[in-house]
Amino acid sequence: MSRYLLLILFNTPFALLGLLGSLTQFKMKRISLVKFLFHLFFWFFIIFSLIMAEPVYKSLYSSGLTQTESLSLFDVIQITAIIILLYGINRARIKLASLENKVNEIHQIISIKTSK
Amino acid sequence: MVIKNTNKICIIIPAYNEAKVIKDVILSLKKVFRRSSIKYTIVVINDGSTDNTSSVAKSTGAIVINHLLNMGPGRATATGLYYAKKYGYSTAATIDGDGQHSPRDLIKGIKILQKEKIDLLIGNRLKKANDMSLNKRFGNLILSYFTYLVFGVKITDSQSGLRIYSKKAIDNLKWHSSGYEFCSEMLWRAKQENLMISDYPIKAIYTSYSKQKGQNNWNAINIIKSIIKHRLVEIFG
Repeated sequence: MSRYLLLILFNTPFALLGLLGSLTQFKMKRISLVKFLFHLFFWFFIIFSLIMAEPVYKSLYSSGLTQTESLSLFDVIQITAIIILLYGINRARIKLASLENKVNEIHQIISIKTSK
Repeated sequence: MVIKNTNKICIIIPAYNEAKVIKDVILSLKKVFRRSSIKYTIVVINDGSTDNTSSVAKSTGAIVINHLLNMGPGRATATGLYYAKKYGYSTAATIDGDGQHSPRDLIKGIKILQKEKIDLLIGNRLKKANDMSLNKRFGNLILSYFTYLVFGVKITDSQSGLRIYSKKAIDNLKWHSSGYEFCSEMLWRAKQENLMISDYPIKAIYTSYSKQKGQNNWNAINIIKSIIKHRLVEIFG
């Protein structure tokens, strides 16, 4: 099996999950239309980049613009790991921001109640 | 049961380690407001002060809300507005705890807000900025320009602490920043909520104390960073 195909198979599910997440958030009115359109663009760009990786490499190689080796299996794993990490970091950041908001609200309520 | 305070102004004073001046600030407010027909409540948000700001403020008869931790001026102001919303105030105002705002300017602003149906009125210190140092004036102008550039809200003095809020603003304004960058973020949120924003000239009183307490231009860099971060998070996050 082509390693470029592996790259697509490993990573496309994450992009699709991201797309689905953005769509759900938009439909539940948690994000604005502008933010949703940006997410849509971002995830389609990722999918497009994954699909175009092989043709772009071949075209660059044939025109002498790159002399690097074709994608190895290790490269595929490494790229997948980076994408998973980025996905995880973003999820953690969103959860942290949401927790911070909740802590702030709790602090406000407690401060007002205890000051009575 | 929550008592509603319609037709009453909630004057919010966020304060952090202001024990030296908070009494004078509250007493001067009381003195000026007593002469007017405006009904008011003074609420001091003691933002986790390590001095006796809380007890000094309490001794004047003001309502004091103590933050358990120092959360920053943005959160202290948010607590004040939350209080105003909870107790049904029709108008709220925030002034700095260091005594740089004149109670007369506050009364003037309240009258403008009620007369002109504005939702968020900002006291503009830069129109009568004779006492303000060039450094401070420059910093404030840069921050206001950045607020316009990033958030699209054109206000001459975006960092002013004297702000007056209509009922609509009290009920709808929410922001995430806890530091001084909340001043800019609040304007942006107000724009998002379609609130009518305006400003009016005020005179800032600079004493050696308030000069010490104010922000310096280095903090402006932090504020600019935070403003950009909030804008990016709104788009990408």
